[in-house]
Amino acid sequence: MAHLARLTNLADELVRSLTPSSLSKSPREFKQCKDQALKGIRSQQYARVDQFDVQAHYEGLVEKFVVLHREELATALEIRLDELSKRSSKWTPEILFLFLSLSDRPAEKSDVKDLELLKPPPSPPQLTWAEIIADDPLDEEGVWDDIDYAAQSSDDERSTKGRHRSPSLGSSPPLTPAEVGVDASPSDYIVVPETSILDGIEDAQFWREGKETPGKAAESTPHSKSTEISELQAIREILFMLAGLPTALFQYDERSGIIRYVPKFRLSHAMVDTFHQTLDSFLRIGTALWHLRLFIKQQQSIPLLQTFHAVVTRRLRDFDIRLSTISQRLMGHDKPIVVSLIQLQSEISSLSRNLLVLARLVNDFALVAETQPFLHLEALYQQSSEAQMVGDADALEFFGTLFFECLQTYLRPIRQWMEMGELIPDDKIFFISVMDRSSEASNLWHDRYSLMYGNKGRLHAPTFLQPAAEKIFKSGKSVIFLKELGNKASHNSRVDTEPPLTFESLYGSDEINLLSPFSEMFNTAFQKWMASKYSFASTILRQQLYDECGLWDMLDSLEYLYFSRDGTIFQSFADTIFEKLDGGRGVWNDRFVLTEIAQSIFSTIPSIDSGHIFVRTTTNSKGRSVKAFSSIRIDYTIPWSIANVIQKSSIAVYQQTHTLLLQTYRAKYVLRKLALRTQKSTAQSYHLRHRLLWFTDVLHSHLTENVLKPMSIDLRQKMDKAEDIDAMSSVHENFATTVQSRCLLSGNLAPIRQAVVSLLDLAVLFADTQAKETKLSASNTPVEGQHQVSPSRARHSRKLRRGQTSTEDAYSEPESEEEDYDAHSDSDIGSQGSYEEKLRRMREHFDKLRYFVTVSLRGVSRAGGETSWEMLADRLEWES
Amino acid sequence: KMTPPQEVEVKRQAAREVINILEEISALLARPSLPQHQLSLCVSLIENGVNPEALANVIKALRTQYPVPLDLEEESEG
Repeated sequence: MAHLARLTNLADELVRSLTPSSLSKSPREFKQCKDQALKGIRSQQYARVDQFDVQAHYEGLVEKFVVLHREELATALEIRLDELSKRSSKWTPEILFLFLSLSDRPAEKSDVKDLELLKPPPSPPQLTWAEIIADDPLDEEGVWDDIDYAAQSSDDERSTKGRHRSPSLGSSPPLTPAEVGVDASPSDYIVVPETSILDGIEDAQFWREGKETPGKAAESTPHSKSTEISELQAIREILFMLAGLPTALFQYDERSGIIRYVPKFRLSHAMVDTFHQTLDSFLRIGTALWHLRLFIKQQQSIPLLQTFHAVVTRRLRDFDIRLSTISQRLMGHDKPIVVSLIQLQSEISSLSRNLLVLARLVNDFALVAETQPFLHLEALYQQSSEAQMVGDADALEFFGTLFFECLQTYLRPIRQWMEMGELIPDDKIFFISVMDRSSEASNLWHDRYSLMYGNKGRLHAPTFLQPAAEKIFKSGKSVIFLKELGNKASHNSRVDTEPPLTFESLYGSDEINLLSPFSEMFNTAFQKWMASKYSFASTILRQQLYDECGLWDMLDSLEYLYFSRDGTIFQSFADTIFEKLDGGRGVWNDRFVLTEIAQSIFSTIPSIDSGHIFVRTTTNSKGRSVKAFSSIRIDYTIPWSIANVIQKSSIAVYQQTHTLLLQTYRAKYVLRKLALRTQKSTAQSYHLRHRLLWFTDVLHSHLTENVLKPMSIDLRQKMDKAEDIDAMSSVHENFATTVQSRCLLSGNLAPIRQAVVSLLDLAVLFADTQAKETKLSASNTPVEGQHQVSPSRARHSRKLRRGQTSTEDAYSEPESEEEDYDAHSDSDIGSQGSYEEKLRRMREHFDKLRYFVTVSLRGVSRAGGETSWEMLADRLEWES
Repeated sequence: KMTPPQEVEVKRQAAREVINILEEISALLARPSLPQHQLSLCVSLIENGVNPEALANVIKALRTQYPVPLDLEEESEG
């Protein structure tokens, strides 16, 4: 049965191989065939084959071939028969008989060539051991080492060591009997290219003599003949050149950056010169494009330029696609076309127009790209504006899209700055940089960040962004400020979607509006973009400063403290000091005592936090002069957030004004303390007393009513209108400077101020004299220990306050040897002579000083100063 | 004195050569020529005792029943 089964299998296979595959799909028919075949095979009606008969047959065949002039057949057959006979088996005759039966007039139909088809492709050389060892020598280390199986195995017992790892090369899976005969060697899978096709291509490029490499400079002998090419060939070469590919017609000279055409080619139907001229026009375009391509090949490190690279690459690719459409069209699959160089010229020139401009731009700034990385942005902006002005919609779209695509990268640091207040470290492109990272919080707004300026004082930003640079700067600083204040939550929740800043959003996708200037459209769009980020932060900040940080309260407190806003409180403060001074008990200007006094007195005011008041004093020995009060300084701690608005430099002005007020109060105080009627009252004394009182009152009213009060109101109004911290701080600075000048405290009014102070001193002197005289006359004894005329009085030359703009804390006021107005006379007045004499002198002095003050005030105000001086001068002049 | 795998290899080689030669002879004589696997099938059949004349008749009958187009003949059934 096994025999039958085998037979059945083989028969099946035979039938399957002999029948078309469609038959196997209809099983009944297939089965029919199979049964038939099997029956036929197993039929016994045939006789056994006689091997001698077969042999005779074959010999006859060979002879027949020879006779019929088919010698090659004969020899082939004979050879094979001989070979076969060497290896014959039992079944050879049968097989040969089979062939004979199947043969059909071999003499006519057979062909030696069939043998060729049978020949299998040459098998690759057998791999020999020598080759294997040469490749991979077996003496690399570790190959012959013992493998420690125990280390990897989970068994406890150790496996036998010393097992060599046998090389696995050369072993093959055991053969099955079925495999014998079906031999598929890997070499069957190798596809050998047909060399004939390649030859065909090379033949088609007929103009290449000797197949030299294109693009290199050919050794052009003077006698090289010109080669004719067809117009289609020329067009193809031109298209390749425009695409930047190597061609035979053109040569690229890398050193000089020029493309040249090889002069030996010409058209068959045109003059050489015409052809060359046409080539020249193409060359112009081609050279520019080639430079663009070279530019793209360079690596760029700055993101801005990388974006620019990307967009230029994309435009070039579009151009290349157009080139390939042209060449596709020229291949003319569908319909006959006209091949024309001129037409190509017009097409290419219209296609490449924008790219040529771009190439020119690239050339212009290729050299300075590193130092001025946004030059290309400006150039693109320029081009877009020009295109719009000229009315070229195509160019406008081209350059506009380029510009906005590059702008996106530039907007990134801006966006980050405006939204988060963060800067990319070491970013040289952005125009904001960190000036002083370690600056105090009180200088956060003004000092920590700054705009970068270039060499010529221009802002380090593209021209079209410069108007907006300030706003960008401020908005970022506001965000940082808010962050410092701890107000982070508000920002994240309110991030608006920013309006897109692209060409499409500007112009829409339909008709391009050529009428409105490009700069205008850009500005509007950019303002909108910025507004989505800017307005929010700064308003929040303003609100914060007003409400939480108590800006108004602070201003109020300062006025109470320094400007004597509430006269009673200020007077009580001053009086306390004066009492201590006059009491003569020890040191009157001990700062702890003064601090306590100040804190207790000013604590009644609600807006002042009296714990923050500190009084500082310097020790000096000015004696009775009012200048002694300049040693007293009141400090009020200002929180850092407000310190960004009310800067330290302004506080100095507050101090000066305070001192002046204190001095005025002092004069009034001493005059008030004088008894009206004493024994020694004379007309002189009344006169002097009256004058002095009047003067101090005028001065006081000028300071408080004419200067400080209206200015405070003005300050509040302006501060309310201020939009951001910059505005607020500038308002306050203006306020401080104006107060300074109006209170006669600024530097150029120093003589006047000194005169005023001298007048105040005069009042003190007068009071002292009066007191002395009263005492003298009362006790009628010369009193020892007159009021010491302080030797420092002789040294009148002291600037009232040095360093009006300095912010450092100066405890000691250096004494400069400046000439004072009345340096010499003052010391004489109160020291010598009789009472009457003194009074007389004082009166003279007073008149002189008053005259001087008035005249200088008038002069200064006429020279373009404040009107308040004029008013003061008027009031001081009432008598004369 | 050859190891079993080597003997098998030698035999395989020999068998291959025989088949090659037979193939060539059949290419010379029989037209249309028998493709290789058909040839090996026939050899196997004959070695199993099938009468070659009968086999030839079967093949001829099948070929007439389902004529093979000419260009398929020359494909080498690998």
